[in-house]
Amino acid sequence: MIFRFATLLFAAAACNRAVAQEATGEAARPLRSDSRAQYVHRITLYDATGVAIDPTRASAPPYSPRATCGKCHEVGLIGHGWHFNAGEGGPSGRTGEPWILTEGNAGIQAPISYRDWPGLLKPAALGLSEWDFTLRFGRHLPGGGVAHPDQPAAGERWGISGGAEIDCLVCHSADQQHDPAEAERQFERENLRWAPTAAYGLATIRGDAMKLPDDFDPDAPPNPDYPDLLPPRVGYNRTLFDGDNRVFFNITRRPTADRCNFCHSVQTVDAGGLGESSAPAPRDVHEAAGMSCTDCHSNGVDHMITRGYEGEAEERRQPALAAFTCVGCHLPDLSSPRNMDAPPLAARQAPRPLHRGLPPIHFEKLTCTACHSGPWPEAYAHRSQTAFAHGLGVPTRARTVESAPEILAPILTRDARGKIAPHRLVWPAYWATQEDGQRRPIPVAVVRKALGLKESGSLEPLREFNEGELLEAIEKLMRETKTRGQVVYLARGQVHHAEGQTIVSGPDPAADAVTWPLAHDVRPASQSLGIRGCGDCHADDAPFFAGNLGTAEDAASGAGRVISEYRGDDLRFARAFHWAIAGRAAFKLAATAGLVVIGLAALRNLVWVMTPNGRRG
Amino acid sequence: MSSYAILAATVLGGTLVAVLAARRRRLGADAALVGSWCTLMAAIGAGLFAFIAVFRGETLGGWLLLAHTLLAPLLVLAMTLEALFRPLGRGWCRAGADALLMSLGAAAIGSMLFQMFPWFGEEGQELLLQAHRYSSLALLAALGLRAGGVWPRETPSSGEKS
Repeated sequence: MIFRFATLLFAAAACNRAVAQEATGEAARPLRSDSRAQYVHRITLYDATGVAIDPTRASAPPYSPRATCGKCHEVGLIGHGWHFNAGEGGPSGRTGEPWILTEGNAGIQAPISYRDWPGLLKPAALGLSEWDFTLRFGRHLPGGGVAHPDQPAAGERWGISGGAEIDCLVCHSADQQHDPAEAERQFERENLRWAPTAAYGLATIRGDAMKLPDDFDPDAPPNPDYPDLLPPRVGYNRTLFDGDNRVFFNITRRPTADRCNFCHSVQTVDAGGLGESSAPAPRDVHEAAGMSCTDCHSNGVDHMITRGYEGEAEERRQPALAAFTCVGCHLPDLSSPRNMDAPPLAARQAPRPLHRGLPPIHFEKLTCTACHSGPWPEAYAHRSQTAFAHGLGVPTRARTVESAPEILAPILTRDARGKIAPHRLVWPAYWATQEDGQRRPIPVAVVRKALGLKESGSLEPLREFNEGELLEAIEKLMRETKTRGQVVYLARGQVHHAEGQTIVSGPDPAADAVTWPLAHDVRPASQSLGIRGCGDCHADDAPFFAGNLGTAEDAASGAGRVISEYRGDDLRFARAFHWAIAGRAAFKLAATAGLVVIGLAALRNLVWVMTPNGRRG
Repeated sequence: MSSYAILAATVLGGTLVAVLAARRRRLGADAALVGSWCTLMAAIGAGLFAFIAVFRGETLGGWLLLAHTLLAPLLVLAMTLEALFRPLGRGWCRAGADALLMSLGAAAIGSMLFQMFPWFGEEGQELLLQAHRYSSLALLAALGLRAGGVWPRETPSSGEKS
C-alpha cells in the first residue's frame, strides 16, 4: 500500500516537474540577469506540483525549492553536483570524510559512503536503506540525491514524508534566516518535504509525518473515523508575503563561511572539554584574512565544487582548476598564459612563500598541508569531532568528549599520491558473519535486537567489550543470524572471534584504519611545521616521526602505535637521519671554515698564475 | 633518462677513457699527497651514492642521501687539508689546474652549504641544487683526471733535474 502511494506521489511530482519545466522553458534556456549585481529574489512560491502557493489557504502545502527555484535555475543539472551525487555511482574524487554509522552501546562505528572510497562500507551492507540513511544523516544533508530518490524503495515511508528536495537556501541564504537546525528537527519528525519551508521561517509546521500510519494516503480526504489523522499543517507567516503573495529571499551567489560551517565544522576535543569551535576568532588563516570558503571552493552552475587538492585538475580534465590549489594560488606560474585567466586570484595577492632554507625534496615528499594545516602535531593524536560524525550544529546536551565515533587527528600519513599529508582517522568497529570465506557485516538492527539494545543515537561513547562480554555477544549474534560460520567483531585494527570459550584476535586488512585528508584549518607561516628549524620534524622525539597514532589513553592501555610505523617509514633510517641532522650545526661551522680555506687556496693559485713568476713557469 | 644523467654519463665515461688512455703514466704521479687521495675517495664515495639515484631517475633520498651527506664532511676535510698543505703549483699550468680544482671544490661545497642557511627561497634553493650537481660532476671528473695522471703534471722548474 505504502509503495503504491509512494509511486503515485513521485510519478505525479515528476510529471508536474516536467510540465512546470516545459512551461518555464527551463530545459531550453534558463532565465538570466547577466549582471554582477545580485538579482533581488522577490518571488512567488510554488508547491511540488508547480502550483503557486496561496498562504491564506488553511491547507496550503509546503513550498518546493525545486519547483520555485527551478523556474529560473537549472535544478536538474545542479542536482548532479558534488553535494548531491554520492549515490549516482560517478567519479568519487579524492577520499573525503565518510559518514560514520555509530551505535556506541553496540560497539559500532562503521565508516560508510555511497562513494567508492577505499576501506568504506556501503550503507546497504549495514542494513541502511536510503530512507534510513536520510533520517539518520539528514541533519547534514542538503537534500537531493539519496534523500530524494526517483525510485523509492517499497516498504518505506517516502510517500508520506515526501523526498527531501535540495534546499538551495542551506547554502545560498545570505543571512541567518535559514536555520538548518530547524530542518534537522523536521527530519527527526519525518517531515522531509516540510523541512525547507520550516527552515527558512516561512511557516510553522504543526504535526509529525512519523505519527501517521504506514498506509496513510496523503492524497485521500480526511478520514471521518480519524479526523485528527492529517499530514503536517503549514501555517505561513503572512507578514513575509507581499500583496502579490511574493516572498523576498535574501540570497547570495557566494555563500558565507557560516553557511558552509554548519556541515563542515570540526572541533578538537581533549580532556579539557568541548566548546573549542565556539571561539570567536577565525581559526583558518584564510578566513582571518577575510576570505570565504567559496573564494577557493567555487563552482559553475553544475555545482561541481572545486575541492582544491593537487591532482584534481588532471582528474577532472579541467586545467583551470589547478589555480585553486595551494600552489596555484601561492606559487602561481606567472609566465603561464593561464595566469591571465585567473584575475580574482591575482587580486587576492596571495603571499608568495619563500620557504628559505627548506631543501626542495620536502616539496616532493610532503603536501603543503602537512606543515600548514590541522592541529599542530603533538606526542598524541587529538580527538576530533565533526559535523557529519557528531552532529555539530545541532544543539544537544548529549554530546561529550567521549561521544562516538572516535576520530583522531592529525595523522601524518601518505595520501593516494604518496605524499605525506595530515589526515583524520577512525578505526572501523562492527560485527560481521564469516561464512564460506565471505565476510558480511551484520545490519545494525540485527545487532541491536540480538544484544537487546535500544537505538543509542550517535553520541554515546563507543563501548569496549571485555572477553566475557564479547563471548556473550558473539553467542547471541550466532543465534540471531543463524550463521553456519562464525561471528566476528572488528575493532581497532583487529578481528576478534570465539574459539570455544576464548576470544582469538588478530590483525586484518578489513579492520584497518580509515583515513581521509584534512586541509583546514590552515595555520599561518608563523605556526607552520619547521618554523623553529629542522628539529620540528627531524628529531627522535618529534611528533612527525615519533607521534602516537592514538590518544594518551590509547598509549596508556597499550593500544597506541607510532605514526612512522603506521606510515611504513624505515625507522632505522629515520633515526640515522636524525643523528645526521643533529650534527648539522657543527658541520655548517666546519664547512664554512673549510670553504674559506679552499677559496683562498684557489685565489692564491690564480694570483700565482698571473704573476710574472707563474707565467714564466 | 634526464639530460643531467646523460651529461654525467658522458663526463664520467670520458674521464675514465682519458685515464685509461694515459695508463702509461704512473698513476697518482701528481697525487702523491695523502690529502689528494682522500679527496678523490670521498668524492667518489659521495658521487657514487648520488649517481645511483641519478641513473635510476630518482630524486636523491633515503639511505642514498644519508650516505651522500655523511661522506660530504670527509670531502670538505680532505679538500681543506689539501688547500692548506699543497705546495703552490710549480708551473702555470699546474697552478692554473689547482686553481680550477679548488674553485670547483669551493663551488660544490658552497652550493651545498648555503642551502643549509635560511638565506635562499625555493628558487634560490633550486639554483643552488643545480649548481651543486654540475660543479660536483666537474670536480669529480677533475679529481679523476688528476689521479689518472691526465691532469697537468708538475712542471720542473729551471735548474731542477727532471
